[in-house]
Amino acid sequence: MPILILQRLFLEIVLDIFYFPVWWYTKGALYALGRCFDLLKQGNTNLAPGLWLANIFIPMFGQYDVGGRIVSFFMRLVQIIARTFALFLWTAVCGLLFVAWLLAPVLVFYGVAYAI
Amino acid sequence: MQFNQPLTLPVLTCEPCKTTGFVGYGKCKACHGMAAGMSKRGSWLYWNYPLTRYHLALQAGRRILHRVQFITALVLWLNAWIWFGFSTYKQGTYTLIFSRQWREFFLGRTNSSILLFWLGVVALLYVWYRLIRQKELTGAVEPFVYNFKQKKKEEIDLHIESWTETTKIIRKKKRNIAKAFTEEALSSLAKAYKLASKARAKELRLEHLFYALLSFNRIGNIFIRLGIPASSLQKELEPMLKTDQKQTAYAGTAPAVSKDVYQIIFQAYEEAYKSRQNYVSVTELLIAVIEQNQALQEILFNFNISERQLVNAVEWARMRERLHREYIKSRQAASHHSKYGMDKAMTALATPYLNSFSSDITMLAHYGQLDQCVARTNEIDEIFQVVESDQYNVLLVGDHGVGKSAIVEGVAQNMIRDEVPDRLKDKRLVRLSISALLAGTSPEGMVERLRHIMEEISRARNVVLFINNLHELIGVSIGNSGSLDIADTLAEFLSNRRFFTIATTTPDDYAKYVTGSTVKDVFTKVDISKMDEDQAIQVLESRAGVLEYKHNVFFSYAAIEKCVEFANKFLHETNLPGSALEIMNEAAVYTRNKKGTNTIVTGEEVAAVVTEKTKIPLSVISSSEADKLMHLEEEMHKRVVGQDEGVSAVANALRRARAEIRSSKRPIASFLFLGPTGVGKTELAKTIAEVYFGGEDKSIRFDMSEYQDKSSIYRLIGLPGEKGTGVLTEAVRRNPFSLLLLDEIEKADPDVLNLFLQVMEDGRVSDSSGHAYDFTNVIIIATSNAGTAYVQEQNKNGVAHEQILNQLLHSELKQYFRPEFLNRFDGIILFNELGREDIKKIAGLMFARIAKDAEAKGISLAATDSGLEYLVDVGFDPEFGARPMRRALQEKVENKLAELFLQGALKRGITATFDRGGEITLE
Repeated sequence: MPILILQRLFLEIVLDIFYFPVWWYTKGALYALGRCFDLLKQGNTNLAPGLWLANIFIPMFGQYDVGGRIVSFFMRLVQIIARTFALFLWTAVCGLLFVAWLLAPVLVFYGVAYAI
Repeated sequence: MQFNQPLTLPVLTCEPCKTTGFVGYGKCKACHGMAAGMSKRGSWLYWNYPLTRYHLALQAGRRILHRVQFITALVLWLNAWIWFGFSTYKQGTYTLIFSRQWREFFLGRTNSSILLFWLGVVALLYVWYRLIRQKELTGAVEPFVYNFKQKKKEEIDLHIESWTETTKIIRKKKRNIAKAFTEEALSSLAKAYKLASKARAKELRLEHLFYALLSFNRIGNIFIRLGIPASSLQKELEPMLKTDQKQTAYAGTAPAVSKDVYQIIFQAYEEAYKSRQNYVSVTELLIAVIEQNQALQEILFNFNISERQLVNAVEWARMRERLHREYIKSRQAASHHSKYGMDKAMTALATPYLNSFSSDITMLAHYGQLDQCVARTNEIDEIFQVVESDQYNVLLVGDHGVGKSAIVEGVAQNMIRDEVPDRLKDKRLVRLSISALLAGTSPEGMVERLRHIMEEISRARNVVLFINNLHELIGVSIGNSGSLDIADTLAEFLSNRRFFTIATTTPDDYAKYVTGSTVKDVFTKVDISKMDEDQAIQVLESRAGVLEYKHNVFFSYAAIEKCVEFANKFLHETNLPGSALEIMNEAAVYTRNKKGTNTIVTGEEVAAVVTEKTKIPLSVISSSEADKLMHLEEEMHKRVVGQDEGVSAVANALRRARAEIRSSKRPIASFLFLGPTGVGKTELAKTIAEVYFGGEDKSIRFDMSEYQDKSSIYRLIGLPGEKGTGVLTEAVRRNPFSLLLLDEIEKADPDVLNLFLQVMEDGRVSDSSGHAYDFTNVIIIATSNAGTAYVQEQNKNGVAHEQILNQLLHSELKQYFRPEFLNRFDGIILFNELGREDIKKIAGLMFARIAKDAEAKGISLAATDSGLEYLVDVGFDPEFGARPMRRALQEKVENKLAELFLQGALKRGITATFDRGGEITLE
């Protein structure tokens, strides 16, 4: 039986090495996509432009007078624009990370080929 | 049996493959490799981890292989990059960095060096790949669903009765529970299998699994907490693992897995689900194994471990892990929480005025300064239910020390983690300081401040107000002629429903202040009950880690259990868990000081701490103490002459008490001593106080002739509405372990006797303000001269002792006591009249006391037998017992000694002998 097990394990090692690149573009890619999406969600939680948009007509710091409302509205508008832009950048970063995942094997292949 | 038998789960096992999931080396066609499964909560839970020799060996091999793969890739990566760095250094290309010639730096190097770099990258990616794949292998226990019962029944049951039906189940509803088992738990199963195989057992049984589990550190530590090394248990198990002929398998045959093992695998999974834990560890397997097997329970029983102890000790281990996870989660959540008390949308208003009268609890939670709240999940859920049901004000009603504030702090911690109803999210919990509100102002000023604060909170919109001890706030208005009612102001603002309020009060104050005020209608009441012992044990277990770290000691489970048990039994001033935490804290310090650091706090140290506080002997009886208890009668006879019946009754009661073979709901013992004056009733009571309680001053003595009218009961239990004014209740509060001597009880008012009737029956009495006092560690001795004339007359007529006592109980004493009162005594003892010989012995004892005093002055005093006979001649009077002897000694011995002393005849070193005719000769 030990021989059988060793045979099986050896086969698994070989298969694992071949499965590695396949996994990278199938399950691994999905995993990377999930992680990038998590990062994006975290960015959204921190920047929260949606929350600012929902509260656009609610004055900041409880300033319910007319002046306060006007200032708040514009302040919130600026914040929403800035936060949306930041979130956009963050989305780009997340996207780039995913692209980097996809490109990594190609780059490695190219690098090795170049060296050889 | 002491363990509860768990409900048998409807686990479906596969016969064709003998529940292995495999036939030969191929998957079983009947169960599709699922081997065992059951339908639960609308899912099909199955076990796909073949317990066969081949698959377990393969799994073990895989585990090693994965490690080897990982380490090899790691080494390759590091090696490649180190060599790459080395070649960069050798070629001198690193200098290009300083001259910023990037292109040359990256491309201007040899091919072998670039190859090394890229090979390193490949190895690094492989390391990453292996890490992620490893995570993929582990699954989790399904998330806990609240109020599952409310879901429609057809949704829950899949009605699977055979394997053919399982093919229809969609993939989403299938869950391989083996993936939720930790690597340690899986290897415990493998280890058990190996053990069974080695013993050539036909079947893998629960005994094998238990033996295997004991070899894991996590389990070993649990048993160390219980005071038993795992190796001792393993030794005890060894005979059970030996197989007889019936159980022995043929050589080379692999053991099958018994159905019990599959049953416990699913039980362990359910246990993890119920505990809301997302993995199944060895601890769940341990509980399931023991609950399933009676033989193992017997072994634990022989080691003095009950189900409760085991479950609590396991819970302790699990709690440590859970608290750690929660702490990490809180810390991560705190990083998203504003440090300035502002909500995420910045709609909130700063509250400078409120801030000067309050403290922000969410901020304390933010910085991790609050203790974690345990064993109060139900109460917190109830608060959330109230909040979700469109109520704005919650009032927590519970006694002092039950943990109301801890619950509110738990709410604050949940707020930080956002694990609260939406209406409480992104808010801050602020505790109003009533003392700050009251300081330096009149009630009018306070109302003004309160209005200001309430208005600020209403505007701020992100404040949840916490008023601790609401009655203190309402109570202020009570004393002020009713013209200005703070309760009304409070009710006015709180009924506006513009912000949430959580307040606390005690049941007494709720009845006294809240029910009669307008505030009552705006609050929804949530009762916070006193913790039971198991909950308190959990709280102590959660705090043990901090104390262990602080004092460098290690708590055994017995210590924690004793802390709670003693606190519940003997410390009635504060409620659980507060009282138990106090003992625990002191026990840690006591152990460190007595035994040093790195030692174990056992039940003995806890007992010593409680004994120090209450004077109640609680430690294990030492051999010298046992010896003393066995010879109590002899010890007592050194002071009390005769009265064998009384002495032996008392000695037996004391022995029962110390060996804890008595009802814990009644006083240790209660006796009524009857008999004429001077026969030794009070002397015996004093002797008990000295021998057992450690001194005559440890007795609480009441002369009942002072309690002859009805109003005197208030002197004993205190005036109505005034706490701590009862002489009886206060004396017992101060010395819960003492002797209560009630002299001449027949003279007390019948109402006073009724009070003692209750004490003897229930072991407790409530004072005028309703506070209960514990009398379960008190010995009650009542003395009485009632019926003396009758006794003396019957004695003269030569009537037998038993007959006199019988007659006394059935006729004479009824004039003084009601039959139910007499019935409550553990023993009614009629003291015999003292004879001439008894009086002579008493004279000897009394003379010895005078001799002892003289010895302090350097004079050696002795009495001859004739001298004692002379004293008996002078001081013997059958009617008055030993009392005249005291006078005789005073006149015939002490007076003469005083004269001799003043004459200068008695000097240090002289020997004085009291002889015939009362003569004192000096040598």
